[in-house]
Amino acid sequence: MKRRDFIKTVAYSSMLSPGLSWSKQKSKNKYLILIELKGGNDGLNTVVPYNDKLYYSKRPGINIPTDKVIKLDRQIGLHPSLTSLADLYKQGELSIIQNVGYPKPNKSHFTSIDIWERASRNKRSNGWLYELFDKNNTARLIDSIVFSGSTGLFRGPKSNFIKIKTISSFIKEAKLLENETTISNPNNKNQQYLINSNNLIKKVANELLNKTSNTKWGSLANKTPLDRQLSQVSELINTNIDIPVLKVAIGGFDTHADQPESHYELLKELNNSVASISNYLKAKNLWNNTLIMTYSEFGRRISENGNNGTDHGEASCMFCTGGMVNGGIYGGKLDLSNTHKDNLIYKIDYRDIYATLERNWFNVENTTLPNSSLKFI
Amino acid sequence: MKHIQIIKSACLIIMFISSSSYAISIAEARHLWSRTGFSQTELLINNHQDMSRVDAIKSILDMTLYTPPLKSLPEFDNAIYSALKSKNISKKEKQKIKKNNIKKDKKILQSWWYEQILSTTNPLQEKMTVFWHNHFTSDLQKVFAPYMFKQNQIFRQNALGNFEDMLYQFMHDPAIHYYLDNIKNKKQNPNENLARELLELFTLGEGDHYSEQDIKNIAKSITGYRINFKNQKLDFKKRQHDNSFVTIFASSGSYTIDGVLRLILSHPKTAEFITEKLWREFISENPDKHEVKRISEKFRESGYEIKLLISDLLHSEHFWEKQNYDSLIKSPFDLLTSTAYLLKIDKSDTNKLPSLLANAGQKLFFPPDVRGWRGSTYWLSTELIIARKKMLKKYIKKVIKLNKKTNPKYSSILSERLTSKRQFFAVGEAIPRKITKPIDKLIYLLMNDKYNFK
Repeated sequence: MKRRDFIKTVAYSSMLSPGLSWSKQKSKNKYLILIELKGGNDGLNTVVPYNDKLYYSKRPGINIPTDKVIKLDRQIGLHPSLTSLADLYKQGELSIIQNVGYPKPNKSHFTSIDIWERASRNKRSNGWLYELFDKNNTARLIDSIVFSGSTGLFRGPKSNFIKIKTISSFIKEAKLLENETTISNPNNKNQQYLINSNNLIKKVANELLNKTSNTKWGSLANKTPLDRQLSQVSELINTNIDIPVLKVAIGGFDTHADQPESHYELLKELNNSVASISNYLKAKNLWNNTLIMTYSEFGRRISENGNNGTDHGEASCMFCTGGMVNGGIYGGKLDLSNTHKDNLIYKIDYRDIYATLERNWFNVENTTLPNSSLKFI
Repeated sequence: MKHIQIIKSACLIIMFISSSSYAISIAEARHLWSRTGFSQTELLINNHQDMSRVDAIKSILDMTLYTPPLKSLPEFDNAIYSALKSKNISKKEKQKIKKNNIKKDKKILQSWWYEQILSTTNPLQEKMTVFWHNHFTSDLQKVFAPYMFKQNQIFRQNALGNFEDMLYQFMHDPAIHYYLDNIKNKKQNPNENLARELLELFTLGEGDHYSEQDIKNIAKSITGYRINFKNQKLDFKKRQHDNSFVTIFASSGSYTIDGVLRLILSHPKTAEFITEKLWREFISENPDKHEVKRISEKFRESGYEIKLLISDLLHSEHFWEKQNYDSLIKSPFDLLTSTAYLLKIDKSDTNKLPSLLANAGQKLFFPPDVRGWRGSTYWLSTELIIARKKMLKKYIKKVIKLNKKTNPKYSSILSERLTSKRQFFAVGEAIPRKITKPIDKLIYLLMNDKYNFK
């Protein structure tokens, strides 16, 4: 058994043993940070199959030259802007899951992200995380704060999340809602929605005010929109507030044209922000309580499209990092010869990743999905 | 059995006639007013007791075919934009143009639309212009101001006109080809972006009624269109067009944009999709399938007359069901225009409006993505619930300050304006007597949670 695994086992067993009430009081909360890469990230230029001739022949204009790739093994390597992610990989704290997708892929941005967020194709089902927390009766005020991007993961009949820009502006502005909500038709679901949201905002603003009274905002890197969101997230984690999911987003991945420049900037922004939050959390000894995961609605076509860009595709890769991650490469090899209409064929159903998170991260009793063998955490 | 059936249908007919020919109540007048972009307010407030449903709807839809903008049109230096796209311009010059002109033009364009919205005599036309802008999205972030303006004029000219005409003009206008990368769609290297959204968002709506192959074939059929930046028109380059034989919705041939649009318009799903979207805008969030089908068939048979479609929706019994009153959530645009009406502003600082609306989630010309603003409870997200109140507060403060400067009696004008009928139109109730100051009365109305609904 490796040392890291041993520590993990100990950590798990202490979390799972019931009678330790002292540890419950003192325990630090766990956080899942989700980073949505909006627009459909090009997996093949993120985790590059640099040893595959097909990759270079199908992407003559936009490929990452072999000498620029940050090589992870003999087959694949990272985009040159992902230097800090490469460091995390070397430290065994980054897992890369390749070939992630789902059957009969949909290429609409909106439908595909919807499928990801509901963990289902059924347009009537609730969001995956709404369902999970609802089944396990967590009785929290809210389960999530969304700083940017879509909120479908938490969609359900009762509001269990808030969407805000910054904590301090939220607390300040919530005062505008001090009066009782009055409506004319309580049977109308939109009017009911307003009442519930108003009540929720007031309660959450109060709770955040109490928890963050000593927080000094803005101590982290503050250069990009993602930086600004993640610095809020890290300060919040430092307060040990009981909100298990914190969601952020970065847009612009719909690279139909002139991809190399824009994709470089986007991945650099991602890399730098993740570096900065991981350094902060490590320094605060909170890295083992945090899991950061990226996701995107779909990958992109294997061949470039002639505008130095790529069109909507199918399977793609995901990153997972944190102190408890079993670093490595999951999901099998990239296969550019056996494809579906010039797209990567998925080998890992995204719901297997959710299943692992449910059991190995949230440690819930009532799971929504069948067991998965994917043990990246 | 038969007798009962006959009596039943006779009763239904009588009920229908009676409800549509009787004078409308003030509550019904308010419902119609709030759903049609605050059109014909004075008439509905003062004369509803003399109007039947048919009269009232007619009064709103019977405006001139097209009301041209009141404000003089914005002017742009077109030479700059064609220079920007020419090959013999240095990087430095490009940067200079971007810094000096492009930003300024974006502001000019936005201010122009806000002034137009606040001064128009045909609010329903402006409301529908916003509707089509949100349906056939393009983004000022990516597309130059003069092009966005031209597209905006297409929406305004056809706002209540003919959908088929609008679709043809829109697809032969450069803006959408730039926004969705179709100017890069080549015979050798197809780009599917516009083809996909044309079906999914603009006409048929997503579903099993078309295939991935249809999209690929439409992408082929709309290759070869390029923007002429000198005259700002769309050129057709035959050499770059893929004229191969393709199959689209089971019809085979070699097509260009017009051929593709003909196929789309002869598909019954197009009328259904548009009808359902307008149902959600005007009636409720629960479209009745059979009624949508019936109305959409009439829409298609009429050759896609939008005014007829809206008229049918407003005449539908579903529109007048009490449970639908105050059941829709006002967009920030709705909030602002209904407030502008209450304030009866002479002067307004339109420069600030874009940022105010942006904070409330709806900066016109800048939709969040190609699908546009989602509407409904998205406007009441925890983030936006507060922002819309802030928007209204800031807005009325600005307007009052500005108008007081030029007219010291503005407070008393405002006070007279907030009659009990107008209070009722705003929030469905009267302001409590203990509130006396005009500004406080106004704040009571606008901060009232009921003001969020229409």
